[in-house]
Amino acid sequence: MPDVKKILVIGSGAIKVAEAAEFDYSGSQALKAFREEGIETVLVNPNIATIQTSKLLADKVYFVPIQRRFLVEVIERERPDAVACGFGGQTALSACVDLHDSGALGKYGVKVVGTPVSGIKRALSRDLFQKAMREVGIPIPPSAAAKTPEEALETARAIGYPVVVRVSFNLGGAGAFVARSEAELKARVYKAFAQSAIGEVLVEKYLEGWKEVEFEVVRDAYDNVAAVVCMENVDPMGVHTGDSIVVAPCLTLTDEEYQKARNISIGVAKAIELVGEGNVQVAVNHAGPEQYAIETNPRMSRSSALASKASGYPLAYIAAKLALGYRLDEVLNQVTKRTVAAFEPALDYIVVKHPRWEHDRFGISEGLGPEMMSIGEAMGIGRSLEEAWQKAVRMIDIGEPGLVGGRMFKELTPEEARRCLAEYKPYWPICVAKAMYLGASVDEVYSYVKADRFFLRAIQRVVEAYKALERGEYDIEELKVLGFSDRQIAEALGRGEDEVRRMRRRPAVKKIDTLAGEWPAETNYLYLTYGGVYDDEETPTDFLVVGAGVFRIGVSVEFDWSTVNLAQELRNRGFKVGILNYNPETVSTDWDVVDKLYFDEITRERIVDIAEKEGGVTVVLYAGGQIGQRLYKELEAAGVKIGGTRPRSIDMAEDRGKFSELLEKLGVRQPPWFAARSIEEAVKLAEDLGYPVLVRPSYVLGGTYMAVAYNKEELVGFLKRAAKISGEHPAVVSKFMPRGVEAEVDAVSDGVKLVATPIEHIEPPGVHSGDSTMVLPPRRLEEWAVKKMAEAVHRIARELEVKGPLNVQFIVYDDVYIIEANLRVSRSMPFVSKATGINYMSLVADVLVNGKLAVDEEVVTLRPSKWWVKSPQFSWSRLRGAYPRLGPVMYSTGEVASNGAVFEEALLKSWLSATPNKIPTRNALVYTYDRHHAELLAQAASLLSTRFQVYTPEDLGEEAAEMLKWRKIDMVMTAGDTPDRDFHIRRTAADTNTPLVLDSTLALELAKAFLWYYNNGKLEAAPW
Amino acid sequence: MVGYPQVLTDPSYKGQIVTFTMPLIGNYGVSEDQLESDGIKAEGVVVFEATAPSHYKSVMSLHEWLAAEGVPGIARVDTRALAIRLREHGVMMGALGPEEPGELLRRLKASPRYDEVNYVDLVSVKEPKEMGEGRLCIGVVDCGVKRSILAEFLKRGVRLKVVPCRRPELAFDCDALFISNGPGNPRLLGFLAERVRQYVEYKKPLLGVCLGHQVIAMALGADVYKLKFGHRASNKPVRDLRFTGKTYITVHNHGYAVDPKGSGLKAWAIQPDDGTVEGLFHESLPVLTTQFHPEASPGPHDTRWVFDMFVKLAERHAGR
Repeated sequence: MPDVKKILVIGSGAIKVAEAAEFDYSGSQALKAFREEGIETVLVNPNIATIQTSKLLADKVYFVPIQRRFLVEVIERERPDAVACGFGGQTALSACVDLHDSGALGKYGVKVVGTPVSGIKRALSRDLFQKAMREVGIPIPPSAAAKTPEEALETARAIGYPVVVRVSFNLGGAGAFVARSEAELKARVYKAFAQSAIGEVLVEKYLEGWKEVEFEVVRDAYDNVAAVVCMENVDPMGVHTGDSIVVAPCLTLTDEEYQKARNISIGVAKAIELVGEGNVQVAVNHAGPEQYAIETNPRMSRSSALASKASGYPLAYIAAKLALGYRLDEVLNQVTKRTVAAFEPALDYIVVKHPRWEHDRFGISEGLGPEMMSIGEAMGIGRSLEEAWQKAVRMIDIGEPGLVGGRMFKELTPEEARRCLAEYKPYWPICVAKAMYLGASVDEVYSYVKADRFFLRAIQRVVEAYKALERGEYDIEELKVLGFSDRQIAEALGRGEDEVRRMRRRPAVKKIDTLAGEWPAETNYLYLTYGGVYDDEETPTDFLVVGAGVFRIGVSVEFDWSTVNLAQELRNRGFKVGILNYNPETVSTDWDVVDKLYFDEITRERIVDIAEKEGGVTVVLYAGGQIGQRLYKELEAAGVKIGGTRPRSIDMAEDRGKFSELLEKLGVRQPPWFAARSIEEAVKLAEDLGYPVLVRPSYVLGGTYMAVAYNKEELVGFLKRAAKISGEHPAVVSKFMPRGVEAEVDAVSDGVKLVATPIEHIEPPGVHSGDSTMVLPPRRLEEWAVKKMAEAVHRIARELEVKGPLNVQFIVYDDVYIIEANLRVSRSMPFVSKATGINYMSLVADVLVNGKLAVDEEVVTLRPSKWWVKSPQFSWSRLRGAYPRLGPVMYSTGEVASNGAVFEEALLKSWLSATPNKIPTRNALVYTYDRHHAELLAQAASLLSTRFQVYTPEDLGEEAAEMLKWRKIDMVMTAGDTPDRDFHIRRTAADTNTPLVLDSTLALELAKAFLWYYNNGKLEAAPW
Repeated sequence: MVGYPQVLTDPSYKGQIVTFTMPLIGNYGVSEDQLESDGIKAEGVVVFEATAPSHYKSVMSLHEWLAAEGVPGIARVDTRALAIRLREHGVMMGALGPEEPGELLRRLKASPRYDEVNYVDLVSVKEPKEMGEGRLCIGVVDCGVKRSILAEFLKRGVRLKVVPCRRPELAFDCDALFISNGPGNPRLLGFLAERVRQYVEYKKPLLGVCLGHQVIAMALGADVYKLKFGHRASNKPVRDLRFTGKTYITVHNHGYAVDPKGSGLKAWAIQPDDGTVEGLFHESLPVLTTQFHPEASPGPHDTRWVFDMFVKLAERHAGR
């Protein structure tokens, strides 16, 4: 039916704040939908950790930057007849518009499928959007676009404060803020302009306390349309949807309000000529009938991924079909397989999406607002609001067992709780719970937090139940319906979790079938709930692969890749496989990829519930990263069958003391370390060790989990400032070797044999491995070191009888030293798998199924035939108020990778794939206030100065920040952790999207690569 | 998932216990403008949770409302499991109350069968009444008409003559006739079908919605049969094969469907999932029907153009 033969799909690149795995999910679905039609697919996405960058999903994959010159080269090579712009987030959409406007699409005869570029522009430019809305009579909030800060001030005066300022052509609301006075507006308006690609902002009436709802709209080219899901923000207008707690279906709207908002959404979709899927945000007055259209995204978004998972309606798949020209009533509902896609799902459950923030880690103190800052999200499903909400709080994995009863809940003082509400801090529901626990009424809370009382009352009910529980008056069934976990109840009662387990009945397994049971559905999408007693029947599975849970710094799409790939490899071997996970962004929570999806908590309680339902299922804990590691002991004790490496071995690797003993026995070295129970002891033992040392407290205040100390003063200063140190909470202090090379080995073992890939880092020890640039094959390491590393890993694998993946980190200095070993998948395994062509999860599946690796040699060391480099992606520009830096704590949010015939090419293509990196052509600012980095940065500066002006902040004085603001500086290279000296410079660089290099070794490597490039080095867009 | 006040006051639910699969019902309370008749028509309500309301319009909670009208309700029921049971075994008689299940069952067995009770008499107007102003007169045969249907007509500037279901001929003098929705078994409305057959001979415009659609179909000799899976939701697609060629999201509440063979009626609208006829027109007569609810309430407004079309048809016939 479609006349498309070959289609270019543009991905979203690295994971960053506001662009995460949801685009892996939507891209994967689109590729599947295109492929079903026999269309050849070409995917451009340098995010190597994604599932979509797989030869099984796309016919051709390009790991190159999503920039015009590379995209044009791909088009030239591949000659696709169409391009799909709506599946790679704002990144892809902007790239598409740019390709169109530059004439490249016209030149090569590539047509845009789905929403036309004219419609995309109408949706993205505030100005065009408002004009379009006025034309069709859809109400919008009073507002005006401004092209200069002065104009913005004038407009605000005319509209009246408070106002909200939004940036045109941005993503995730970057640069947006609320100003309550002219002074507040003046202070922040310049940054907003800096973040707009077209130098335009919108000043708009701030609708304080209004509700914000969002409809996901699907529309075909013949104007058949459905508003598939209504989602309601628990947070009022003014908080970015990505930072809001969101419920589905919409809970507080009357039918009249619901239909009005739906009509507006459909009207907006028509006005922007939507073909495919888009979302529309609508502001709903909480005290009157007014509603306004706020904004629209003419593409798959974070919300549409959430909506797909919330409703069971596969929006991206349907959108892809509609883009090809299918009618909405021609496409089958993929859940029921019996009904068509032209319908609006009926939900017989409640979902609550909860964001996870990392404000402590980044030293951010600001409250929530119109700019998205959350790092991850989780979705709880239940049949009561309280059940779904408490599940969601547990799922974001901040240590709280629900809305009540956790460490944060208990430690909040009345004053802290009040301030948390007044400043509208992350995790405000816990503060609400505490305030209510201390006696605050719903109305008192509402005076701070303008969430609908309907939601505040849900918290109140949980608090009341908790207080009764503390008094020993409780109804176990009612507590479970309100979403209390066994542990939460047990702690309040001072009893054991197992005791509570015996007191309660089993939860019911329910299906998500899009039609609330009205029609038979062949769905395998499940959750557990106490809001019911009867199971929807299901057949048992052989394996349950436990996913990665909520994304956080250090856990991202790479662990979703392992989860999905392992599940698929097991399926390929003829087994029935289920996945347990709860992150709505991901491919692993796509019911399409497994035999059965449990969308539920990753806790001992839930896994035991599932294991009881499933009978003899084998639970695989090491594919989702760290979250599974914590569960080995508990699940083993509960009698759950665990696949792969034994719990005892996991414990040996996780426990520092036992691990050191093991290494000693194996004759493998490790940097000397000790555990100190007081500052005095730390100082004394550090003298013996010799400085510098790496300090890792077990009880952290604020966000600094680790630091390097070069002398006694730094050690004492850090321990006093950042940690609580005691016998109960010792600090681990280890010898630090800054001049070594950091390296790691990704391996799979069957307990006897080993397949291993050694990886080298560019950044020196002291920079977290997740923030390091990785190189394959090793470039600086000598042969003896590589060999010794592989041997060490082999010894560990044999001794611990590892049956599955493991990652071991090293420092290579005068000898090979082990920093740590993790007997689970690692962040780099998708990179290693794709670079070497050996899928590690296939190896792991062999071990799980056959008990052994299908290799002949004892140790197989893999080396790719090209150079491969993986670079971190930071989100500094989004994390307002954070000081950009590198150190032993991880800060990056994502990663990208590329390859090349020469190292420089691989490095540059990889580095350029992370935003906002660009090759500098004029002024650079190169400096450091850290003597350890001075020499390398001086070398980098001297190399660059052969091409253009290189400054230090001292050269420029006040001018430095001004030049950054006006984008007259192409690049900032610096290193060290000196916020007292250069917070302003680094922050301004981040706010203005100026490329920032934060390590001296990387700076020098990049400077060399730039020179290689200036001297006619070629960056080729070659397929994988 | 929204619209419980409209559902509970819809006269079509007379004689029925309504089960909501959406687990939270009552979130925005109840207010006068949300009612489809003068009070709750459903005989009982089954929910998982009856919630406390939060809405500026709300005058009372669901619980208070049910109590005030003396309608029993039950909460904490696994309504999904119940819905699946109803789907698999078909809609069935039921009872709810504080008594033991055995006692409830005994009383249930002693009650008249739903299919055998003529509920329309309980919800129809007793005496004719006139509403609205306008040159065009549309007669409304009230078998339990929803307020929102009347509102859709009045919005379009027509005069309505609302007459009892038993006496449709009182409105035969109007420019056009509308047979409303309503409760119960359409086969019990032979008397009405007979009158409609007489009306058709005048060749004046005729519109029927839901029950009205079935009655008109029967009047013209079509068959009515019971569906394997009843349509009861506000999210169902209907494909318009004749007027616009588009597919709409529509509101359904029917356990019976029409087979128009041999009646001179043809389907203009079908439900694409199971091919059920959702709207009929006549090859030579100005007859139009919808099995779905174009007035929505609760539900999407996507098919309110059906009223536009019918009013235009009536105007054309009346020469106005």
